Amino acid sequence: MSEIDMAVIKPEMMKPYIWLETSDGSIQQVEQEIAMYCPLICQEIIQKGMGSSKSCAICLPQRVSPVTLSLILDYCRFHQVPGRSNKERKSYDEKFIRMDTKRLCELTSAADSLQLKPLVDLTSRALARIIEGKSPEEIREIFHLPDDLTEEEKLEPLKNTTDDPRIRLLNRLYAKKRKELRERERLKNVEVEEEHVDERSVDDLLSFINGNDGDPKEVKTSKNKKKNRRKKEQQQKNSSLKEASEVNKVEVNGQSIRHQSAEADRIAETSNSHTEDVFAHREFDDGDIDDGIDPALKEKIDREVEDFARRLNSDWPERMQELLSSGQERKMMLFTPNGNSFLRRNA
Amino acid sequence: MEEACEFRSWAELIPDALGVIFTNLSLQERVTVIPRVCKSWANAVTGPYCWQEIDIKDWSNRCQPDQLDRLLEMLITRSSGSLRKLSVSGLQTESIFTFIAENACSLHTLRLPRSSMNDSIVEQIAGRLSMISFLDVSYCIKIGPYALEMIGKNCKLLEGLCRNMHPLDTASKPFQDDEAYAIASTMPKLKHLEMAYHLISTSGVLQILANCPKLEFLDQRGCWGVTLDHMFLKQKFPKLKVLGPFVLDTYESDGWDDFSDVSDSSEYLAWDFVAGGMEEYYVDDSDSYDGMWDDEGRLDELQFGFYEGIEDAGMYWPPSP
Repeated sequence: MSEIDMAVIKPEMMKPYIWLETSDGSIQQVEQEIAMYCPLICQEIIQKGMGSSKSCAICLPQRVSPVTLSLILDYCRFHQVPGRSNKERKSYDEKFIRMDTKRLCELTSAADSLQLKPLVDLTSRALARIIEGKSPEEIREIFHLPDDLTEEEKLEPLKNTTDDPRIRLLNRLYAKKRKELRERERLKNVEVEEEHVDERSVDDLLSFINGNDGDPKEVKTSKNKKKNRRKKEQQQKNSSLKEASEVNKVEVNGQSIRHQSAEADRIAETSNSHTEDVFAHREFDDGDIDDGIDPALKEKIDREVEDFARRLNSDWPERMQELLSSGQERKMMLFTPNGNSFLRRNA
Repeated sequence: MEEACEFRSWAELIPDALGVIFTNLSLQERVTVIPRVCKSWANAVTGPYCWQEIDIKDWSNRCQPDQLDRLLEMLITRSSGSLRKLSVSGLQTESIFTFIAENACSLHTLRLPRSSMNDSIVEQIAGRLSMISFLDVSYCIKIGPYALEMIGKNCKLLEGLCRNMHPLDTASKPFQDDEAYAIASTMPKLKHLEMAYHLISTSGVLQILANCPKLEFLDQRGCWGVTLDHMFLKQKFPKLKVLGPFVLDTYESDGWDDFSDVSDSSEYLAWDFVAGGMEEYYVDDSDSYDGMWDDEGRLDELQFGFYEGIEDAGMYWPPSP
């Protein structure tokens, strides 16, 4: 028994190369000390005696393609050399992960299947950096993922975190509720859009855009919808925004362009006066918040909002920056004398 | 069609690795953003792989106790018995400690600072924390030497203990070594011990040093009852690194695993700063709004506010005259 083991081990130790087979059937020779850096390959060699010849090459997992294997071996070739400093290793790692997202995903998956933990940690952190701070729509676009969730499923996670009563998170709560409202509006618009696509041509759409000015309030409800548009329209909007920031006259034109666009979006809907829209919007918000919060909690929130508003008026100059950063706060400000003067100055 | 098939094909290449990626994201992203991307990501983020490590210490400092308990139960349930690290602050209800203990079969790192658990609760749950190797019960003012003794007797693998105290809690109280004696008599494998601002005295420290031969790091900053000569420590315990009793301005990393995590976090924050800076150049209105929604950088919010101001101005212009 021991003689057999020695006989098996001895030829391996004398050979500096082993054979690896990737999922597409190609077989290649690799330096053994480099391949041994992968725990999975190491196990195959030591425990099963595989890889010593072409006929018994180590079969790698499905997710390891020849290109990916080449990258992994480059990584192993660098890191298995003793004596390199941590600084050198980090520098190499930073250069190593500069690749497109798709390849980075493949590399993560392959390294995971080979149980190469240092590389998995490196690539997964890089991918997390790509995901960090982006909206679900952006992530879907970057990673080419299907939009296969229903509107209800998309709203579900928000409910888990919309009941924090503290004042500094209150605006986040309101913002989420407004976003929820927009999501529902977008659902309606999607249905309308489908009908519209069947009925009208691009020329008809353009004629409506050039026809009349829309209600400024409607711009908000179509904001999410704009994200789904082509880059061409995106550029158009960017130029509009730039013009708006230059001079008042061009600013007015910018608003007109956006209003017309909003009007086009709502072609199939009955038009309402902006006053009614504002009222309906506010009513919806209040109702929704009531549903989500306990009465005692709501009372506490109202008290905090009142304190906040009072403090707001007393420390006007210091609060201006915060006001600009939050739509809800702006609405509270709009009903104060200072708010009017600010609006007049701004307009 | 062909393109879609191709994309979907390689997206499925990484089902096992998704959990690894998601563990690098913040709690809020995992709870509110990832589930809304697509079905496969929603499934991955609610699976156990993503929740083997739960760190809601920062978040738990800002919410009500009942909400904290609810969230914690949800996340622990997702881990499906594979929970390895848990870090949460300010737990109060007795049932949540029991719930944690019931799901602690794989738990090796447990941080429960500022908890309201007492000796009685610890006695009940200690038997189910046998896999713990690192425990943080800092600022838990309701437990005492008996609880530490129960922990030491049941957590045979314990290598790290944090028993820091807040100076306001320990000010003008007499020195006590009961907790030190409990640690010395029941935690022989201890390597890392933090007892900042504790009421321990010199004899207590000597007792610990005599009975914990593997100790490598001792944090006794603010332990004003301890007077040990550093030369004595160097000769008798050459491997031991001691901080304090005097508090220095800079905090030194001792190379312990948990502290290396902190280093990683620092690097990550640096990257986040760069990314945040880049966002300043965005002009897109929608992106600015999303930034505001996520409560991110102030400059981003400022941009959004400016554009919204224009719209509001237009909306409210008629009532002015």
